[in-house]
Amino acid sequence: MPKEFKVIDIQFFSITRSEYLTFLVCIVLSLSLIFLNDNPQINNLRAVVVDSWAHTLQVISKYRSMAEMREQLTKLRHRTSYLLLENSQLRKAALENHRLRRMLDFKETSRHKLVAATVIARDQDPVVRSVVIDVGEKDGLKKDDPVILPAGIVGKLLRTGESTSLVQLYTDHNFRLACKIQRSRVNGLFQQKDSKTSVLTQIPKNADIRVGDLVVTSGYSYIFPAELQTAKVIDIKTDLPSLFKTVIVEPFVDVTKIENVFVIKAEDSVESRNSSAE
Amino acid sequence: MKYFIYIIIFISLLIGQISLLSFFPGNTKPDILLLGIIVLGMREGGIPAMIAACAVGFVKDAFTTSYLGASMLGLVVAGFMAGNYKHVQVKLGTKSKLVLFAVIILIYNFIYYLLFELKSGMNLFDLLLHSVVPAVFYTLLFAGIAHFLIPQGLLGTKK
Repeated sequence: MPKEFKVIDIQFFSITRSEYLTFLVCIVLSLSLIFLNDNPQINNLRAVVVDSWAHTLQVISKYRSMAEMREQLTKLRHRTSYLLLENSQLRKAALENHRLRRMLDFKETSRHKLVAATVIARDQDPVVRSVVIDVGEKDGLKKDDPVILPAGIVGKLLRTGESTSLVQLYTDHNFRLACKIQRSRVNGLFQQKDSKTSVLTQIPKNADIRVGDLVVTSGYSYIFPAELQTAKVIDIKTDLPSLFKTVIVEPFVDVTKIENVFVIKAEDSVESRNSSAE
Repeated sequence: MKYFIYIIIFISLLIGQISLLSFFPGNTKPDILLLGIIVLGMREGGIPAMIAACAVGFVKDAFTTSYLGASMLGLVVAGFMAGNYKHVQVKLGTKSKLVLFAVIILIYNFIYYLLFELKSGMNLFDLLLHSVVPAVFYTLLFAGIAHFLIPQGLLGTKK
């Protein structure tokens, strides 16, 4: 028995004129912002937005710290009984003292003017890597100021607000840093290759580089002073069909775990660069 | 009152996206703002979704090193597409809704990473493989979990 088909005239979409108009206005607005990205006023607007969210983020950061502290406290309670037996509570205090002294010594002995900062927010994007720190223009900081830790470089300030700054981490794919091998003084360009690997590029195939060599900033950058330790060489790839070899490096700082950082003030980094150039 | 609740929800989503999700382990995170825009579009239509997309996209972009307006553009397109759902005259099944979600998420991520590729000079294929595909999968997975956890479902149609 043949089936009876019924033809139904279905109107799938009936978008209204006001929807089209809103869509058009929003698209034009988005594209205008994209094309005006380098405009200083747009950058100021960006800083104002980040600044206005700073208080909320600081509260969340504090709440998170409190939650972490509570968690740590529970763990410590469990450990205390064990530590009492081992009598290693003093050793723990000594270790903590050593860590803080190292941070303090670094700040005091460093030839740079450092500003201590706390990370209050992190970017969630897999390729765009940044964090927001709780210091800004009121602390004398400017765009492009280097961000470091005693162990090595962290990134640079991309934008500064009144009381917060956006830090572009070295893991950001747009980040480039002029570096050199400390032992052989071979120059190269430090950058992120993919989500996990950092590399040193622009290295001639005949350059003297060995696994374990220390990578430091070259000082050719107008941003980073010379001789800041950055990474160490863990692998060298020479079999590529190119005039250059790719040097795989392991940065000293794990940016996924940073909580406190130091920012080198701009005038200071320029002075250091000039003195090392002389 | 309804829109006031949506404003509160989007402020919470923004805070969640900017500060809470960023402390999750791993590189790829679910885009809860995008989900919010899609749900708003499907529930309330394109206009509220596109206006919300402009506002939250702008704030989200301010926290990244990418172009200001990149997320905004993607979210506006997502809001517009999701808004079309309100005009569909036939009743869509779960699979069709899932496909619609996936297509919108894919288009948003494609727009966002295409703009990122223009700025960073990264290989587009690498971006698609390592960023767009995981982002789409993770966001869809998160949408599924949220749908089951919310008593009325994401679109308020679950019985």
